[in-house]
Amino acid sequence: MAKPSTAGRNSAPPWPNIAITGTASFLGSALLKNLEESPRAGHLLALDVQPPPFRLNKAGWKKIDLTETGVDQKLNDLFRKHRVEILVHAALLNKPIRNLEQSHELQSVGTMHLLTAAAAAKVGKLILASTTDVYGAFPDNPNFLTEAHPPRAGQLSSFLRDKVEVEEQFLKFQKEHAEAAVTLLRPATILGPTVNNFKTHFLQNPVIPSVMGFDPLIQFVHEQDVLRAFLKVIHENHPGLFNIVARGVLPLSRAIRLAGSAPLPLPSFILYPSAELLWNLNIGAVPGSHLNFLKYLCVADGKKAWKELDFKPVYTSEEALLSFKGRELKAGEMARRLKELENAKAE
Amino acid sequence: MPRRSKHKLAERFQETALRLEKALGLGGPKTDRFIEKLSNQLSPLLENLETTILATQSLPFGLSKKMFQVYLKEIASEAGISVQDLMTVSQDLLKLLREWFRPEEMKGTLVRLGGLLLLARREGKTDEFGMDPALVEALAPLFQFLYEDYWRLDVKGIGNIPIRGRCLLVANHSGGIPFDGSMVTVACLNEHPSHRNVRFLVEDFVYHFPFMGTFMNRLGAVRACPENAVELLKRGNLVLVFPEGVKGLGKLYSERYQLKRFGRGGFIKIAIQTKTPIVPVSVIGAEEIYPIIWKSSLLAKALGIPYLPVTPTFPWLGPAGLIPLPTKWRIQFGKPISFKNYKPAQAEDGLLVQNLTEQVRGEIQKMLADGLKRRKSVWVG
Repeated sequence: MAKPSTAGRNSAPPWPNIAITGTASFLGSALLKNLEESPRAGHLLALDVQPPPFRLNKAGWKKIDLTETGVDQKLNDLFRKHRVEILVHAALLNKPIRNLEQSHELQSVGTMHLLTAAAAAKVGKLILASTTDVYGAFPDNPNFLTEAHPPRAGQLSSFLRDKVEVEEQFLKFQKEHAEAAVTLLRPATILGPTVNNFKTHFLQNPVIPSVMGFDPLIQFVHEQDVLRAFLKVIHENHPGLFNIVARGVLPLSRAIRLAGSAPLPLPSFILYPSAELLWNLNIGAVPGSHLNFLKYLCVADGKKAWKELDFKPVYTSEEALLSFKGRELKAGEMARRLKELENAKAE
Repeated sequence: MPRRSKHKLAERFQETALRLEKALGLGGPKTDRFIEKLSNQLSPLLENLETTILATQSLPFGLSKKMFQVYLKEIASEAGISVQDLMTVSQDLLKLLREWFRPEEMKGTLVRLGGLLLLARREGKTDEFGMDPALVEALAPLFQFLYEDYWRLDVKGIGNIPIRGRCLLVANHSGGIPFDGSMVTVACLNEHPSHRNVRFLVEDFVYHFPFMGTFMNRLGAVRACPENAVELLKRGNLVLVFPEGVKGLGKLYSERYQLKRFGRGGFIKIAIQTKTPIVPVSVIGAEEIYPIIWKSSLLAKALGIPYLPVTPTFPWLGPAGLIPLPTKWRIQFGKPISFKNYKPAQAEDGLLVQNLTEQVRGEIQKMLADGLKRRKSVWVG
């Protein structure tokens, strides 16, 4: 039976065996690829309905559908067979879908199955890829939402409510299994050269609707920084909840301009109903309530991760956006910053 | 920076204000009587208007015209002149204002201002709390004008603000639009030996509005909540709070300079937790810039705002009614109150917090009373 391997990370033994869900999507596959390329990687188990988007060398892909009945037993068998010590859950939807039942089945109920299996197989460490969207954008949010702030996005849509429920299940798991290390990472909107989701699609429109008279501050985080944060909590034990965000914020209007698009300000009494209509007509990408993110603040405080995880983002919010638009940091600058971070660590 | 000698513009304005005061009795006890009478006259009509708007979902223009006539007649009778004479006085007033603003000279400034505003918009860079330094710089001439010439600020006790490090300014609040926050900010920037920047906290309702919330935020205002106050103080800022909140902003003219409840003492808790000194601040003059004679709570509810103010000029004169009255302002910074000797845990001691809240409130009320006693005229101080 697998035990969490907290000791021995620095000495020779290989890394623990890791299972990752959602390996066909951006975060899961990027993580899988990174771990595969490491010479010391232990056994890697990729779980998704579709195979990862690249050829696997060491990892094994198992077709797993979290909405199937009996999937918990199947997962339990897999975890035991491969002596899985770390489970990374990245199989949440990266965009709202209209089939609310399926959305709920996959996110909330799927997580329940996964956690049931993890508990039965005594997986020692669990890592959840959540999002700062769970805080929700509201006019009464403080400028910087800390981990102590309750996630209120459930009021906005069932898509986000499911995400909050998933977090709650992980937190409950930690309460009931004190011996396990449960880490929840909440990255802000991830941007970078390879990431691809409904928010990146939104930023690629030539004309971007905005709410007239509102220009909230927004933040991003670069995909490389997110990967570094995940690798960090895989290699070290850091139970708890952490916002993973870049430094700096920028007004939405500036973000739209930097993305090379033109803003189209519309009054909210027109924008909200039309977005809701488009959503119901199968055209819009998000329900109307998600426009709150274009209207109000939803900026997370990253200080806890900086202090406790010693995770320092390399890119600022603005640089993450520029990198996404193909304007990368100069290689020299990038190397300099990484070295600076290394040095700071050494001290 | 030594205080600039008063502008010629300010002097000229002072004269105008005095003449106005003599001609119409504005600003003295006569004004109070006038406003009281006006609100008595208008209240039934306004209530009528409120229900009509709500019932028909449209603005009954006939009714507001009727009200405007009542209003004009009232002003005229109070000033002891005929409506015709009143029109003449108004025209004189307009002439004076035109002369005072000197459009030919202001044109250059306005064009420059517009250019800078456009530039600031294109950049759109902000600090972590949303202040846009380019916009602040673009608007600086406007705020300096309000500070030097329009409200002719007198500032006392600026030395009570520490040279550096966190400090909490606690002030009385009024004026419908938080001009008091901006003026305290300009005062610290102009008069303080280290020209300190102030971050002031505004009620969240501002953030429910289009344009207003964003604009205030770009100017450096931050939404009032304990988390933001603590974060700003931790970064060593000078933070200005108005514990009266929206209750203070919407004070009726008859309630001016009577401090409302100071929230639930949140600012004291923050001062104890972060060991921040408090400097009480009294702002005199701001409470008369928009004499609110009546508030519509029914209509406000329909519009989703805390209150809909009615002043002698708003909404009758449309956007022109939003021009604040040119009162004379005095800002006094009181002696700092130290919170060094409290333990953070004492922030949970409800009774202590309430007592300290009352102490600060009393201090400000006393400063207000002293200042008002010394004031001879609303317009010239």
